[in-house]
This record gives sequence, structure tokens and C-alpha cells, in this order.
Amino acid sequence: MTAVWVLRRTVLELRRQGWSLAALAATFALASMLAAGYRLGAAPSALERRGPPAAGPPAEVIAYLRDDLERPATNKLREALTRLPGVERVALVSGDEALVKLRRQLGERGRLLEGADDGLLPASLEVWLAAGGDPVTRAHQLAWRLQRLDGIVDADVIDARADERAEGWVAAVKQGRTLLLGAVVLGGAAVLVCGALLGRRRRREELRALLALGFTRRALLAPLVLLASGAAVIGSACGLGAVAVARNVASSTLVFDGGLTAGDWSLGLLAAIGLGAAIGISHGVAPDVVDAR
Amino acid sequence: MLRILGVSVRLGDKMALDEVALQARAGELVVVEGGRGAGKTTLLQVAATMRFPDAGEVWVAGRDVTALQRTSLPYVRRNVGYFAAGLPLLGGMTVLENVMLALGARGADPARARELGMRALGRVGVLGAATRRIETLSTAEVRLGGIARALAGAPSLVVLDDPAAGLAASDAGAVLSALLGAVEAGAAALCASADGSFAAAAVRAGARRVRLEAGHVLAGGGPIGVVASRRPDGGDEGVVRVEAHR
Repeated sequence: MTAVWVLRRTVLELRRQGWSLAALAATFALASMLAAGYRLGAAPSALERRGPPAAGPPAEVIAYLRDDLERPATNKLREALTRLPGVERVALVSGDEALVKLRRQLGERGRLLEGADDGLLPASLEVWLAAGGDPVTRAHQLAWRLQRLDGIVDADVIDARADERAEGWVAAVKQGRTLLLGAVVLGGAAVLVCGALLGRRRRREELRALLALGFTRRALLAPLVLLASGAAVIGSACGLGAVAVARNVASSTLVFDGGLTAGDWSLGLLAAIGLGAAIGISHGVAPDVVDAR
Repeated sequence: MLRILGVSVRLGDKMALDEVALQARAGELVVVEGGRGAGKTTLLQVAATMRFPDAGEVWVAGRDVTALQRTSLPYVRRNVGYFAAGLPLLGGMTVLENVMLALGARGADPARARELGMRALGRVGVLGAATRRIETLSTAEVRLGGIARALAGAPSLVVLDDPAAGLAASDAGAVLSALLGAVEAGAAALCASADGSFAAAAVRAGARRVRLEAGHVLAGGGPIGVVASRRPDGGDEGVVRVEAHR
């Protein structure tokens, strides 16, 4: 069989089996997305990268000082706070120190602060509350009172347990993501197997017909190999392209990721795309099911 | 063109063919008759090289296909136009594309394949459906398309398994006419038919009748070398005349 006929058959097969080939391409796209997504997802989240939290108080209040507050007034305020019941320690943090600390806390995202002036953050007083009772509630009460003091512009509460809760959320999201991806893969595989089983009988009859016409096995396979290779290359390229886009979009637009990496966000998007692929595959099988009626 | 020598085929615990001998020469039409389970379809599968016998020889185009390697079979099959209900036209394609595919396998270039395909479809009366997809055709049109695929491009051996089944009398007449045309052009033809009227019409047109029962040739198979395929007077009308012997 000449190359002309191989090409002609390739075009015919493309027309006949468009849905199956789309399903094949989608499968490759899904597979490449899963492989790439797994690679991204294996990276630790921002929260995990920070490592275990440093030893510190269960709750902390940060009181931001007015810029024009004189040093004697600052010391007076600090001493007054130290004398409050339940307060373990009060430290004065300059604006420069606060900026360094913030950069450290942001980790990789610290680059967001590049170009920031040294005077970006005001000086502050860090008030550590002693353990016992409900330090977080006490911290909120203290912050509310501090906000009303002269010389203090604002007060924030740092809750150490919030990080633990965030870690719990990250773990839950990762588990959910694994379950979702597993469901997508299993569902897609089930649909593919169904399609293969439904198409088996028809394919066997068609192969018999083509063999009876005098097709060699090589001539039978050539168009199919061409189409399958094309679908694999195009599908994989689409899958990897989607991963690259998702990763870039996630890392460039998400300023705060709640402790998730760009990979985590990408996987969420990929799972949605994978679901779409599974639906596409099921559409490929649907005509067989309808015919069977 | 076709010589079947002492062919036996066992299907499970039943002998579908038992030492069957049959010959169809170029320009000869042989009609195989027999009841259900007589072995007609198996015999035709063997003749079309789609089934290997358990014993015996099958000669097509001067080659013993039972001695050939599997990779050589396609080259023999290109000389055989085979129609059977179990060999469907390929869905998602037009009838013409299906016929052209067969001609492509037989070495025709696409333009020539189109021309020959249209001609074959015209002979069996489905030219009007040439560019319609298989899914849009009636059962009879699909059947006629399959027969056109077998007859297209003048194969040297034509094997048709019950071509008239389910066809209207006019369509069956067109099929017989197309078949006789192929024989006239020099093909050897083997045709099984459960339709008595089709077989009778074929015999009236000069075909040799072979009766098969329980895997045995009862009449008409003829000892090899005794069968005459052309008119003894040397006439060139191409009408097949057969002397059936036992």
C-alpha cells in the first residue's frame, strides 16, 4: 500500500475515530498533567517551608507606635504594659527590625517587599502574654484597650494556634486533592475500559474485513500509529502547557496563598481540567452506548 | 484459479468439511448449495483464505495458501474479492470510500480507485448511494455495497457468501448480473446461496451447481481436471458452461 493510501486512510480514520482520538489525547493530557502536577505538589507549602514554629507565647499583641512618639514616652508606655497582670514580656521593635522580621516570616514571598523603604513599618511594642487561662481572649481584650491609648495607632493580635489551624487546613486540602485526583483517574480509566470493551467486537469485525481485502498488518497499523502518536504528542503538549500556565498564573497572582504552594493551586485547577477530560472521554463512548440501544 | 484438494475443517467436535475437493477455473461460476450447517460458509472462508483447513490443500492463483507464511497471505487475498455477512463495511465512511479502500489494497491509485469503485457500485445498483455514509443506508444497500467491494477491480477469484439474502428480486438480479460480468471478465467465482431462486437463475446462466451436505460434496464438485469452464466450441461470449461430474 502506497504512502498516498496510508495518508488517505489516516485522514479517514481521523474522521471516523475523532472522538476516540480526542479521548486518547485527553488521556495523555491528563497523564502528563498528573505527572507534572505531582512534581509540583510534592514541593512543601510555604507553611511547611517555614518549619516548626519558634518557641514563643501562645498569644502576642503588637502595638504600633505613633511615629512622633518620643523615646521617654515610649519607655513609659513599655513599663506600664510590663506591669499589667498576665504580661510576660514587652519588647520594643524598631521599624527596621520589624521589616526584617516580616521578610523572614514571608519566606519566598519576602521579595514582594523589595524596594520598600526602611520607614515602611512603624516602631512597635511586642507584648507576650503568659500562658494560662485563655491568652488569646486576653490578648484581644488588651489590644482593644491599647488601640485607645494615646501614642498607639493600632494593635494586632498574633495567635499561635492560628498557624496550627492553617496547617490542618493545608493537610485537609492536600488529602482532598489526592482523593479528587484519584477519583478522576479511576473514573477516566473505567470509562476508557468500557469504551474499549464496547468497541472490541466492532473492531474485530472491521479488522477481519480489512485483512480479507488484503491489507498487511503493517498497512493496517500505519495510520493508527500515526494518529495515536499525534494524539499522544498533542495531548501531552496540551497537558504540560496547562500545567505551566496554571503554575505561572498561581505564582504571579496569588499574593497570599493561605499556606499552599503554587503547585497546590495548580493541582486544583488540573483536577478540574481532568474532570473535563473524563467527561470528554465519556462523550466518546456515548455514541457506542446509544448505538447499542 | 481455485483448487481445493481434500480439505477438512473441524469445528469443535463436528467436521464442518470432510475431504472436500472443488475446483473453479478462470471464467467459471460455481454455486454451492446446501442446508443450514452443510459447511457452505466454512468452505467459502477456506476458499477466500480466511480460514486454514486442518487438512488438505487450497490453491489460489497458482499458490498453495496452506504452505504460505502468514505474512504472504495479504498478497494472495488481494486477488480475492470476498463478501460475507460477517465482513462489514467500515462505519463513518461512505460506500464509495469503502470500495476504494479495497481497490487501494489491490494497488489502484486513488483516481483509478474512484473510477472503478463507481463502476462497481453502478453494477449492483447502488450508485446513487455512493457518497452516503454507511450509517445512513438501508440493510440492503449496505449488503449491495459489500458485494460491490468484493467485485470491484476485477479480482481473479470472487467468493460470495449468500449474496442474495435479504435482497429484493430486482437487487438479487443485479447482483447475479454483476457476478456474471466478473466471470465474463475472466474471474473464477464461488458463490454460496441458500436462496433457491438465485441459485437456479445462476445455473440457468451457466453456473455449475455443487451440493454440499454435512461437510461432504454430494454432487458437482467434480474430480479435478474434469471440469470444463469454457464453452467447448471456443465461443467468446464468456457464458460459463460446466460439466458437473461426480
